[in-house]
Amino acid sequence: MNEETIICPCEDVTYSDLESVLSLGAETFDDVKRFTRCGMGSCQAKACFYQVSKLISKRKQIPLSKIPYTHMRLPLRMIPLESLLGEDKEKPVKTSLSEGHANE
Amino acid sequence: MDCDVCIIGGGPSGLAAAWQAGKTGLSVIIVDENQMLGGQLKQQRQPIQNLPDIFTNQQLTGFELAHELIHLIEPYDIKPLTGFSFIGVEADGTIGVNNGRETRKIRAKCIIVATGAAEEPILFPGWTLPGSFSIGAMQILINREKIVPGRTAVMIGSSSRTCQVASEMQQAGIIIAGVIEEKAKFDCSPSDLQHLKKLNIPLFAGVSKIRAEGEEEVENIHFKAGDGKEQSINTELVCIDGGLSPVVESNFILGYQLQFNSDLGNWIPSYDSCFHTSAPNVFVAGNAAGITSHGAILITGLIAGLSAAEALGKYSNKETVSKQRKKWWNELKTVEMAYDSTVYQARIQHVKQFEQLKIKQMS
Repeated sequence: MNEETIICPCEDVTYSDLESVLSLGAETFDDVKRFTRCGMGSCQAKACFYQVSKLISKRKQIPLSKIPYTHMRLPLRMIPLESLLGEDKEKPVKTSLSEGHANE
Repeated sequence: MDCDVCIIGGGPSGLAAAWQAGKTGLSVIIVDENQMLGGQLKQQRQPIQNLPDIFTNQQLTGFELAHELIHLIEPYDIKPLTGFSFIGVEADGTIGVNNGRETRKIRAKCIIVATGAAEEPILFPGWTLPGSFSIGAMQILINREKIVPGRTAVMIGSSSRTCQVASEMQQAGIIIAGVIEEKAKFDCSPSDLQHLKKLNIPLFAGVSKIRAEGEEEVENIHFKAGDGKEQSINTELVCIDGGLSPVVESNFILGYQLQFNSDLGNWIPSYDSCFHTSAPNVFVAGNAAGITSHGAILITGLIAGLSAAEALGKYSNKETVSKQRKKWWNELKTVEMAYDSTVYQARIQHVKQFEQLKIKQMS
């Protein structure tokens, strides 16, 4: 492990990034996630969760079992927003960018 | 879509669970994010050891077992929904699945989480260089995609999985230039070790300071051997075996508690002897319930499927169900003790701990 070693390949987070946030007081995986986006990429923390948690455990002398599992919310996958739409796909939403603005 | 049982994951445990639930007449939907059912079995060529009794006298490789399971579920009301990922639930418990283009909703009375496991990397400088693969990815490439991604390879890790994949890589024409292991001793069986030695593959245990280097891709790997000497091996590929971890990303969404158990893969759902989690009508099966062998993975699926059918009132005779479940737990014991007794002991403790907690909560 050196400073440039990637710890989260999806979001390009390095070991040096991790050290920075740990010295700011990060103690859980989710703390690291919020600072660095570690775990927010396409694999959704599958590659980095235990790797980072083990590094936190070693650095901060916290047992691995005391580092909570990462809080995973809907959606569990990176999906296009459009794919969440229901049947009313054909109805566009009028916005200030639409033609025929009220003040014209 | 409405169904009795929704199974998340169509690998061996999901298919086994689907079979048990489906044969009682329940309607089942299996959601799998891959285009085909079978999970990791699809790229596995080795003969599967210690299959449960339902497969007696059959010598099946991984992909043959996948075909067998897919065939088993055909006569029943079991609908595979492939290419879809489970993404979340609505407030009333309706399941949302998405394939990147549309979202479909599933209303189910029971859910079985059969999401399997994900591979762990090993972190070292250069581990993300092109040419670096997990052993699972390598197995998919050479067995399913029929691609040989390089001419030489160094394996990092020494489990029986690694030995198996190294052997397959060799058969595909890749020269295994070394097997390096950070632990003091190799993980694989003595016979696997003998096999590697016979093939004159350089073996190094107790290594440290691993680093892969190369201009734009892996060209060589350096490390400190167990005797303190610096070693270098020229190689195009690096194959990493960091072990497996259970996939339990749905815990918060489905509302099941996790319990840490380092012998079962760390965070896994709490479950009782029915493989019922702490969330009502949510069961778990397979590697998601603890990293184990193929035979055990299948049996946990059978127990979960049976228990889901029982929960939905499909068995009027409680005795029959208890007997069958007990019989499968005995098979699980035999199969898992043969694989790794620590895993079985840990599983028993895990179930006991949860069952005692439930008793405490009720009183």
